[in-house]
Amino acid sequence: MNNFLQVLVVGIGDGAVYAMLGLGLVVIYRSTGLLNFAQGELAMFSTFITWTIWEVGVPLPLAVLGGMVGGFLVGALLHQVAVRPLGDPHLRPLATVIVTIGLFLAVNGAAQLIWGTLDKDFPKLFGEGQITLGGVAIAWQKIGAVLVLALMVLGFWFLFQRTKIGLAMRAVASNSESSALVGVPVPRLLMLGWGLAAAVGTVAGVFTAPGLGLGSNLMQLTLIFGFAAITLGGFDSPLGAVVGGMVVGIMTSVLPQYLPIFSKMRLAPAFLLILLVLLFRPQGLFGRKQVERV
Amino acid sequence: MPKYTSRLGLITAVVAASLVAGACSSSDDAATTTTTAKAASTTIRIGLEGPLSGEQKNTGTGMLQGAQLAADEINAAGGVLGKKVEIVAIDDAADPDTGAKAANKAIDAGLDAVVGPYNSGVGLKTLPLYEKAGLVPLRLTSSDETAGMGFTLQPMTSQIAPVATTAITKWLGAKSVAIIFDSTEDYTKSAEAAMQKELAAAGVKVTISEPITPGAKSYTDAINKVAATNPDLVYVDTYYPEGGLIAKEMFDAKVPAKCLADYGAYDNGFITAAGTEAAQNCPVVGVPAPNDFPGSAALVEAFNKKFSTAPGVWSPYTYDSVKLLAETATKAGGFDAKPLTTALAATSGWKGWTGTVAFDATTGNRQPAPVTVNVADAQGAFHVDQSWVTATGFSF
Repeated sequence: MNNFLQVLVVGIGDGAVYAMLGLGLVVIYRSTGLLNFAQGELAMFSTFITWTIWEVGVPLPLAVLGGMVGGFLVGALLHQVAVRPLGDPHLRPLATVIVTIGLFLAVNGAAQLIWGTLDKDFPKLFGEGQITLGGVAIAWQKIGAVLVLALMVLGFWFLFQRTKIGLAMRAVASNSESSALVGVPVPRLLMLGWGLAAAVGTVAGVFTAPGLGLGSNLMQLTLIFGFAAITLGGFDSPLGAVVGGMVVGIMTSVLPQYLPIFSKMRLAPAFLLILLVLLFRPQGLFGRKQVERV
Repeated sequence: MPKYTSRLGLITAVVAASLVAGACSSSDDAATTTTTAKAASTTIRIGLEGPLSGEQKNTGTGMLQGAQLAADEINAAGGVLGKKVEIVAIDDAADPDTGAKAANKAIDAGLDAVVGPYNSGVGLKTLPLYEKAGLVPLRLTSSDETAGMGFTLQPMTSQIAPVATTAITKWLGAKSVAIIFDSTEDYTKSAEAAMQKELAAAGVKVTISEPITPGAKSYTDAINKVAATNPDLVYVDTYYPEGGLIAKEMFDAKVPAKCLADYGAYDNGFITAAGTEAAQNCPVVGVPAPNDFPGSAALVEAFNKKFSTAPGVWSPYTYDSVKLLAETATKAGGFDAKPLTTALAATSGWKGWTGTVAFDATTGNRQPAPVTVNVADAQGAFHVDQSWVTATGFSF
């Protein structure tokens, strides 16, 4: 039993990070209807910004806030420079997706040029310690990840449901053409969406870096788990990102313990999940079904 | 939005991607064909392939130094077939693709023989390249998948796993074992499979087999998972950077289970990564340390004198490999694959730094190949664990 609980705790901690990255993906999807393949690399880049601020002696929590601001600016700038010139992403989906793949490579290369190719040591936001409850070790970092995720979800709920900007963003996601006709500044809101997604990604990076080491490949594996999370939860559902992230985290931690075949194929549960959901419930658990009027 | 704007954006993205990809690969030393200098060379060029850079650099450096010491001694004694021996460093960075590029480059530049590589996953890619080029590798790989590709002086997985299992049962008295293994490397995967088989045959319960990815800065999740299964012992099946870190984190977390690290982690770098105290808490399956071999004092002294450092744990193996190659090539009349293979297969009773050498003619594996359990001393170097010797009656 202890073994199962221990594996579960590790899975929930991992799942919280997948959910954070998934939230960033959902923000972009809600505004553009597309997946942003550069989301993980933006998270990596802004985690490097966080590390740089921390290296000069700023306390880590403040450095994380600085990294989020830096990530927001980079995300917004990339949208203006590389995505906006394509026009409405709803009308040019393929071109936009290809640009996000280009940005994936460009941001990765830029990080290597600026910070080099050697991994950096990154401290744990909630310290090195752990508590033991009933024989199950729970790292403070994992408890912190779940708490931060809860705060993020609350923040997103407040933004989307209780602010004018959130209302406008929902309007753009629902119908960008009609929104523009009633005076909603669509391009500016899309820029805001990119900035927000990058800022959220920073937090996912900050929780991933202490374990893996901060390098240019930091988020590539996590991004796949993030995709699996939002595929399960629904591409347009923040709640789905959280539930999906948790399920993927728990699955990837628990399955190898009971089905040894998965211990040598760590990505297999995530790919299997993506395949099954797309086959049987393409809109995910909490996503809205796409209906095309004819 | 005009159509040309979207096309411009698309083109910009593709060009940017190409530029970045180009920038990323520009540092790679591509395997450009230079010249096939083999025939014209006035020296015997022996390649030494190993991880000379990257995380496992410690291993590669010791390997290269062992080979260089042997070449110096051979040259001082008049060389091989009237020519001086030159050691050509081939850096694979423990990466199969990097290894293949480096091997091709070295082959194109001219090689008479090759010692290495060390990593089995790399060997699966580079050993066939050397064989195709007409060379007979003296490999340092241990995965049984590499058996039959040249010859080796060090033990193979099928020779290591029984010794590790006896150490677990007879010496450490464990009845249940949790395995932590690197699921990305050919060697560690083959060692995990071999250990599962041997432990099952010995009636030892494997409580969990937890995969890890190398290069991480912490493995506390994996350690917590295996500790929750309450094993008598944790078997750490990784290369030394990860093995040392896991030993350290297990020690710091006061995990009650005993610890034994697999042969893959056998390098003095394990002690550096773990810290001496944690390393002493986690013995490592390996081979006798350089100064544990009978009659090794003069060789260790010569090594110290030349490099101002102690030999690495694999230095004696590359030293012997170069020496054996040189002596066998002299007997075979050169380095041509067929006569050299025949002569190497006939090796029997050859004595070197690592003891007496004989090969299985089919696999090229050493028979017998001494496998030991080693522990760190206070100075941060490995030695054969004497309590293990007493418990198992090992002698060499």
